[in-house]
Amino acid sequence: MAAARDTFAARGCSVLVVSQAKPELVAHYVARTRLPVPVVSDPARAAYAAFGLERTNWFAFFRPRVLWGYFRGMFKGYRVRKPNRGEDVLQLGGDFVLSRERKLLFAYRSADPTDRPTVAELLTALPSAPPIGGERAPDGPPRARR
Amino acid sequence: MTPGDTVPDFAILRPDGSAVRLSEFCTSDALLLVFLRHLA
Repeated sequence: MAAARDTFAARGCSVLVVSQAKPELVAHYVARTRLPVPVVSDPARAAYAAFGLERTNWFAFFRPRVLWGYFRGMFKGYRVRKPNRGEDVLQLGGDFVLSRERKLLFAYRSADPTDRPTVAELLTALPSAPPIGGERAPDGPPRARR
Repeated sequence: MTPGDTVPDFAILRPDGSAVRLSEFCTSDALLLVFLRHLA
């Protein structure tokens, strides 16, 4: 997580995590996980609704793609835990990139519980950020190697 | 809300329970907002 945060920071992008859990649960979560980015709470899910993030249904958890997503996550060390009280397990997430003026630059609304964009997809959404290291600009020529 | 729209400056809560506006986090060229499903 810290490495991803640094990658975004190098391109002028900060990260803010939004949770539907109550602030006290978020505080406990932040202390437990030591996330290197700020986490805020939206227990009324007003921001979730404003960004068009929908609820899924229980059948979605049994789709092969979703089961495979959980299987891959568990293989990487993710542990399925019981949701906290007050959290809606059917609520879907999403990822959005905003400009400094809060203009929406990129929107990705999860279609199912394991659907998220890749870091590479998010990086391409950043405004006019120079490529890092030996990377090639999306619309530019290959960088010369030394 | 679609790309190009201005996002409302909605209020959210810090872990200590105090309210904060989204704009207070818009201090860089860009801000990645990650909405979690749940904390589990």
